[in-house]
Amino acid sequence: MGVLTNTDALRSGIADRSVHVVDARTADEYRAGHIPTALNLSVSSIVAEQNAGTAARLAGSLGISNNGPLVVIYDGYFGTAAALVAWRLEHAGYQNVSLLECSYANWLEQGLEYDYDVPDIMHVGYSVKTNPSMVATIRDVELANSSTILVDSRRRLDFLAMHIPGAVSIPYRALSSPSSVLRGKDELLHLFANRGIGVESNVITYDNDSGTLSALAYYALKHVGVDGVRLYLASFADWRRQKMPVETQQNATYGDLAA
Amino acid sequence: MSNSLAVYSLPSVGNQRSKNLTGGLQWDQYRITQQSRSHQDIFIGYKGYFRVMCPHPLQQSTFRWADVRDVDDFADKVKRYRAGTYPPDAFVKYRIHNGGYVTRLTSDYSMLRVKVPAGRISPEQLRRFSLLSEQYSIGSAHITARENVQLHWVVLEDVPDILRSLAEVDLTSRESCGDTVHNVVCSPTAGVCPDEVFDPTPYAEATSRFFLRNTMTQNIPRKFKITYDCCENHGRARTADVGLVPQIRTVNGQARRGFKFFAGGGLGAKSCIARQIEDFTDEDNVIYTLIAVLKVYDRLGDRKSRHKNRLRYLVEQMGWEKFRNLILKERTAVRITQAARVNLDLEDMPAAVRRPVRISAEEVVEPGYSKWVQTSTFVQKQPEYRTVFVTLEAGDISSRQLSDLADIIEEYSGESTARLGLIQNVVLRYVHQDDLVSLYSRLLKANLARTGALTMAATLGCVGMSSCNLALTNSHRMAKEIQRQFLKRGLDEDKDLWGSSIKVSGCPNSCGQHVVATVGLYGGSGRNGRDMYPAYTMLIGGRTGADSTLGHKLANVPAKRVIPVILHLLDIFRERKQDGDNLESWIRRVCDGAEQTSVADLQDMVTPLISPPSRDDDPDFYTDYGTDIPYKIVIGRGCTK
Repeated sequence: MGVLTNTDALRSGIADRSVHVVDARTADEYRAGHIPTALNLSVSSIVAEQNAGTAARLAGSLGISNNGPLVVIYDGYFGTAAALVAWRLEHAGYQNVSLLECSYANWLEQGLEYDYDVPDIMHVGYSVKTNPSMVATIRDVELANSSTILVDSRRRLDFLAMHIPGAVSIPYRALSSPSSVLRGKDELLHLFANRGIGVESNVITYDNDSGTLSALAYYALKHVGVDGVRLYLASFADWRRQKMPVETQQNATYGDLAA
Repeated sequence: MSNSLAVYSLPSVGNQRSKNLTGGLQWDQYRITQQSRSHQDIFIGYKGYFRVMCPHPLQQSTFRWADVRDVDDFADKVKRYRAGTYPPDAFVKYRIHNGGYVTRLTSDYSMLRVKVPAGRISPEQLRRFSLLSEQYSIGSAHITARENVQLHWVVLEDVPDILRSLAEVDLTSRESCGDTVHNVVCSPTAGVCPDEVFDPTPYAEATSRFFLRNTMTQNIPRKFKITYDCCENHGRARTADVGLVPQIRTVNGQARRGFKFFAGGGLGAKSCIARQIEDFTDEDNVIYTLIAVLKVYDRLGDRKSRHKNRLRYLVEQMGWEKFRNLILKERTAVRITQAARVNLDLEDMPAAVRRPVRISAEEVVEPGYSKWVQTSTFVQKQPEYRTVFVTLEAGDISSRQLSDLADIIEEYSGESTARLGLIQNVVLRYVHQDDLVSLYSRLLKANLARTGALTMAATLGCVGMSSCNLALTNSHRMAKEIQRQFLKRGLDEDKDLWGSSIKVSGCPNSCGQHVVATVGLYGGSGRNGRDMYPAYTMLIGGRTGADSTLGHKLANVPAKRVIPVILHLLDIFRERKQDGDNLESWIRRVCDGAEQTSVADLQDMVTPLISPPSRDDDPDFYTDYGTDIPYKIVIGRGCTK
């Protein structure tokens, strides 16, 4: 199963009821219109609890089981919220999860159908079988040797101001194009190769705290075949709290170049 | 001299035709005043005749600025440099030549300078900058004082990917830095300026096309800057290596287009005002004269000492008369020896001016509108149209603003394109006067409706310590702070300050053009015992235009005292000005010794404001803007040496 599901595949899946569509935006945004048959599993409800079972419990309450049909997730703009919901579901043992290739904004731009209906929900039971290989702990990051590449998904200015020593900068917006939450594989491979990342690499992604940006990076890397990727979910905020060393671009006031 | 003149006239598309707008010249302007349901069309043709290489003036040229071979080459060189198989010095020279300028104190990042020839930029190109600034840079782009767009803090390895994307919208960074002909600048009001005798834009673009990738200019002694002005009042012709101002002369009973051709100007160490090489340089001679100047410079420029190697040093060394004679002689030789006839490939720019249709809902006049119209827009020579200046803060524009601006240009500019300006701004032309209220509202929403664009408030500031290796101070922030203070205090409304300017550089090299400002500042330092503090040398009385003049040194002003000193100068001016004075005219007389107050008096008057407090009393005094670390001088290497 691929990381991305394209719009045609989703629409036929909706037509023959072979997919679960998940809207990762807020409840208000969902109520204002969503892709037909979509269920609302907002990223904020998931990050509210850091428990690995949360995603599964919430999904179960929406009738999505971990061995059911393909789950296709989307969000409003950048794919970051959808990516974290996908990642949390996969981490809780869901095996059939993917991202819609475009955002809801793109969906509407293309003139595709939307509605306001909330589908009937049949609760299903849930079980949690966490997948530890997807996660990097602070200890993993600390002990990462030169064969593991740390990817900082925050904006470039945040990276310059402070980052985990040795990390490389890939702002999350570099992963998307205006029409797709992930750019073409060739472009992504190029972007990664420019930072010494190849399909054989071990990679840990992080962002500031929520894990949304780094979850998108996680899927971008998976998308091009970098299987050795993990997410440092507690991210840079945790790193700072634990008083770990940081690197800074010194003697330059780059922040003053921001408009 | 018998260049083949292909004579074209524009197809008769209108029912009204006005001729001879420029006194006898075959300048045709065609208008359609027919009202269609959707819009009003006005076609403006450039000339009644063209020397062109494309077969018809309305046909698009196949010329492209961008060339993907440059991109592949850059990618290859970066790889070899990182692998240690390309010498670092040679790589630096190469990357700079291709617009990948060095970034402050690091080789991991690059500043990418993208040239926008003659400043003409399309909505599509602005959208591409919007995307790339977010993907590869800091989420905003920087618009320079020479019509370039810069992306800062770009990962060096990403530069080729950015160049490839830029090539798709026909933008190149080639020869935007380095020892070559940099972007050819054109006054943003060219074509709409009421004072111009003809529009120099096609000449500026043709000049840029001619020298781009030209073997003649790939390794000249140092950088070379060419500027076209619309008229004597709007432009920088006398402060460039070569500057051209349009003029028309009657030669053998025939009106001829030509230019005042200035050479040897430049700002920086040993700033110099250019001199006019001859009374009238016919348009047919423009390219030959440029070639002559470049050949002489290439041959005789002092390649040994980069620091004293701009054209103005050669002029000084030879003496003006000798230099001038040499150029004229060289031109004769160039004309004889050119293997093929060299024409400036003037492209027609039949700006199809379409006033976009507006569904006129109830228009709300937002607060600040009349001030904005007064201080940020300009009446064009074309009746009913205005030019709108979008002033930024020291040229910085966010990704979101870039895409908003692209939409706004399409909605409001009759030519559906924009110009980059000369003070780090963007210029929308052909805005119909009836659309101004609505445009203002749109600009407000995008946070692009600053007032004071054409006043002293619109402070120019180089990037300084935010990106440049050579900077001694955070001049970029300094300029922003000054502008904010001026706007906060409503000084943009003070008519006495119109026509004056403030320009800031972070070092003596004058990218911020401080020497030609009413109040100019360049970065340095001061010392109080063992403690250093950031400071600016303040110059007054500089100006551009027909009587371009370099500023006089006033004082070394601590960075944190710059704003109080400027405000104090304004107070002194208000106290002592005479009837009919504005700040510019008053300072001019002070500097000329034609006023009771002398420069020395002003120095005495600001002295109490600039004496340093002790570090204990005022630790902030010893830090620059944008940092809380006590000031120290840290600089890196310049360009190639």
